[in-house]
Amino acid sequence: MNIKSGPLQKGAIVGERVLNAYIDNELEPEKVAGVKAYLAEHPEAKKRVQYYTDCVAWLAQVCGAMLREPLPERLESVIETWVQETVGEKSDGDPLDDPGEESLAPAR
Amino acid sequence: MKEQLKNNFSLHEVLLDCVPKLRCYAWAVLSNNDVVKPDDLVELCLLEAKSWSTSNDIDSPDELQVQIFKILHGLCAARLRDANPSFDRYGDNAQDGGRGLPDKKDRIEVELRALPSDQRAALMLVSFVGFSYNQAAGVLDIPVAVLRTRLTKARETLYRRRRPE
Repeated sequence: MNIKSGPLQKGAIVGERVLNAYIDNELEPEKVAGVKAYLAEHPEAKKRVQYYTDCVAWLAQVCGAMLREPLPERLESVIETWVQETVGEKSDGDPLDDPGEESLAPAR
Repeated sequence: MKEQLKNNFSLHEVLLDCVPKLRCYAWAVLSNNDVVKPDDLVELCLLEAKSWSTSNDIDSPDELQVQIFKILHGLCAARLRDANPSFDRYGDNAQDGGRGLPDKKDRIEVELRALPSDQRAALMLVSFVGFSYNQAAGVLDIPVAVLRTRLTKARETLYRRRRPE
């Protein structure tokens, strides 16, 4: 069920898998122009692709509030512990080799 | 850990970027009337990932994120199996999907939840988290071809529901 390699032949039927790969940026570069040409000639397929692309925005919309809200304290706590333990261990070595410490420094 | 984080990336930044997405993923994949809450599994996932990171090389932020999601996926799959003994494989659990949800918020959420959970997981990892097909297949521990099938089915289902024939 792999997508055949090489550019799309003119007049080829573009299947769902190719359309999905196209919107997910997983299509081989040499096929992209062929899919664009196909979509220009097939409004129904173009409508589908637009709908699939809209799905990405919908997911962001559905999850948006959760993405923006502050993390619960218990999750913050696990993150802090993990980072501190990592920085602590790394600080035993060469401080110049410590991206964690550097990244935690306030911006100047 | 010094050896494990051998490349120059900030663990703190990776986690701050990753954890909100983990919460969304767990929320989307778990049944929303489960007594186990998404944050319970995310917390457990982070603890397991922290433990994993002490004994494994991590070459890049992407690798760490994939591994963390992989752990969360395992926890979600186990939870779905526990919550529904008739679940013979991860996925195909449309019983909580869509129409009868007690606290459905809007059509988009309902449509998402109406998908079988294996398709929901694939869609979330690729369309929401932004993983490549290889990364998402790695998280779900399935071949890329299977991931493609799940994605295709998920989107076709959403499209059909949106525009009934």
